[in-house]
Amino acid sequence: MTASDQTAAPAPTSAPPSPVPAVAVTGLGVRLGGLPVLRQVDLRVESGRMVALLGANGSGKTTLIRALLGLTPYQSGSIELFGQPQADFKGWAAIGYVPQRATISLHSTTLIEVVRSGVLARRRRRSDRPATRPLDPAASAAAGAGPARGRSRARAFDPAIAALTEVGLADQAKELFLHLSGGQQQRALLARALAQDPDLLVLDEPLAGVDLTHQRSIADQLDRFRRQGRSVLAVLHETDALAHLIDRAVVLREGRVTHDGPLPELPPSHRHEHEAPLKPAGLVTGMEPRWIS
Amino acid sequence: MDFLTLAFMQRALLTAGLAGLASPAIGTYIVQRRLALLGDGLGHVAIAGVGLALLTGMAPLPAAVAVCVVGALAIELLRQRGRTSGDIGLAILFYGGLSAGILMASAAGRGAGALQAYLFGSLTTVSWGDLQLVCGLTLVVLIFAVGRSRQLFVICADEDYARVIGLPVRLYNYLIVVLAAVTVTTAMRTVGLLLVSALMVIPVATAQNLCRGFFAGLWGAMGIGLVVALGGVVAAYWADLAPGALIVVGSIVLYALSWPVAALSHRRRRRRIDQTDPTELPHQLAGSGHDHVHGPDCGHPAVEHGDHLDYLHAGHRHAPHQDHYDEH
Repeated sequence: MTASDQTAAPAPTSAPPSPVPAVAVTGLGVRLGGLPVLRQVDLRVESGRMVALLGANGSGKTTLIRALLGLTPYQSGSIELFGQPQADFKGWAAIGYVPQRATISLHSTTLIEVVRSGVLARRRRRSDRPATRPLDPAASAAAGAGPARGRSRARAFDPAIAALTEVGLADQAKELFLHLSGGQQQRALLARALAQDPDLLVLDEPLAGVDLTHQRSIADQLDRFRRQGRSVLAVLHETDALAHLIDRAVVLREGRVTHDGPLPELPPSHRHEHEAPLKPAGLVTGMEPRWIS
Repeated sequence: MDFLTLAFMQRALLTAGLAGLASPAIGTYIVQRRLALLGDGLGHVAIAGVGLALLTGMAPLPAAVAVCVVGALAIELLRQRGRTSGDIGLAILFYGGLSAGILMASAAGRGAGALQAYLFGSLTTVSWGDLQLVCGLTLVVLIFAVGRSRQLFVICADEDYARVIGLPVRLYNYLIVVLAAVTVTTAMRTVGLLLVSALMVIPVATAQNLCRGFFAGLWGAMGIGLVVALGGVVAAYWADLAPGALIVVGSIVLYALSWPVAALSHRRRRRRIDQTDPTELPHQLAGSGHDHVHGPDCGHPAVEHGDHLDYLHAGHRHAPHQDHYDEH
């Protein structure tokens, strides 16, 4: 990322960014089955910023996310999380992960049980919370001033129900997870991540299958999250609903970063000629470019 | 109830009760990880431990526990390596354990018949020494299976997510199979090594039919396991039949009975969803999540509710009311 990109990125209205980025990936190389999937990838997610990861199917977006979460081994480069090398990082509970597809296969699991997994991470986190906070005191204070934070509120409400309410699924808390639609499952996994009270949200196509009404409510939720000084890294195929929140867009092509800058300035040449959109661009809102393959 | 005064029946009931609690408890995680037949395989490995005990003169239970735990670690190692040869490796381990047990029993001059008490269970020959060891080991299994149930649930439900939030997934996976091995060997006197897997799997499947949710299923499976284990021992006393087989048959009968109950419950639930729910939910401001006013032409299905219509919208039943909508 260049300095001009940083200055061009729209700043959120509160919570000044911490000098310590939530994610700093440098020269990352990943090979899967002997084939290079990521080559010399750099990625930086500042505190209080939302970064969109764009690119065609197979461009390496999910592999990049899995590598920074420690789910896929990498062969070269470095990954730092909240200023600590990934190998030494202990504050994993501060990272809320929403996978690309619902990976929950238990037939008898209810929605509330799934979301309470996030509360478990929240409880685990209390013991190591200082290590995961931004190191800059001003940013810490700003982030800690958010309305949903603080120990005093911990006993006043159920974080799992609160998270389900935020994604509009509170009335289905006792439904079986596998009986929900794909879009509802996606929102449930977002609720699980929100219940952690994380400092960084890593979302892999969070809007897949989600209806327009709930896309907007997810956008509102992410906006509040970002304004509290926390960070979002989201793999997106359609930027429409979240375009106004994206501080920076990183485009991957064949495992390399081909663009790192503000979304509106993304030149058309970065769209792949062979990737015809499934639907005409802007079909939903008529506003933003699509990155769908 | 005079059988309760008999010392061997007291030991039998206590041993069976503990097996009835512990087997479905650890079995819940085994079943959820789609390793339902792991208990069966571990039972084969435990036979090698019994054979070793017969050959060396060791106490059978500790020897079977030790050998079965080593076998369980090998099984998990093979599973985690995830190679295509894993199935073949498991098969070699299972049948190797069985044949090694028979060979060692034969070499000890006892013949394969000496293994019968362990293969099919022999509750009435449980000693107080065995009972103490069974109590201690079962307690460890229950503390782990119940005390760490939230962590184990996350690992069973979504292993990637468990890793991301920092749970030691590999350690828990090893603990699950090791404690499954301990459960198999402690239950071998109750239902026998050939039938022990049934007590780990069938009460869990029955509870899944009857209970809604993972944790309700865990407690339900333990309750069902306890009932069939104690019921099997008492029935075996009165009918003079093999207790292990009766426990398993009782489990299967309960499972069969749970099917119509599950079907009825499912139908009731569907009917309840179709009908209106009298629960009053808070008023919500119109426009929060709405880009239109519900009405006959809005496209959302209408449901009759008392003197008005609710509109099904995003999983809610919305009733337009002045400048907001109510959730019914």
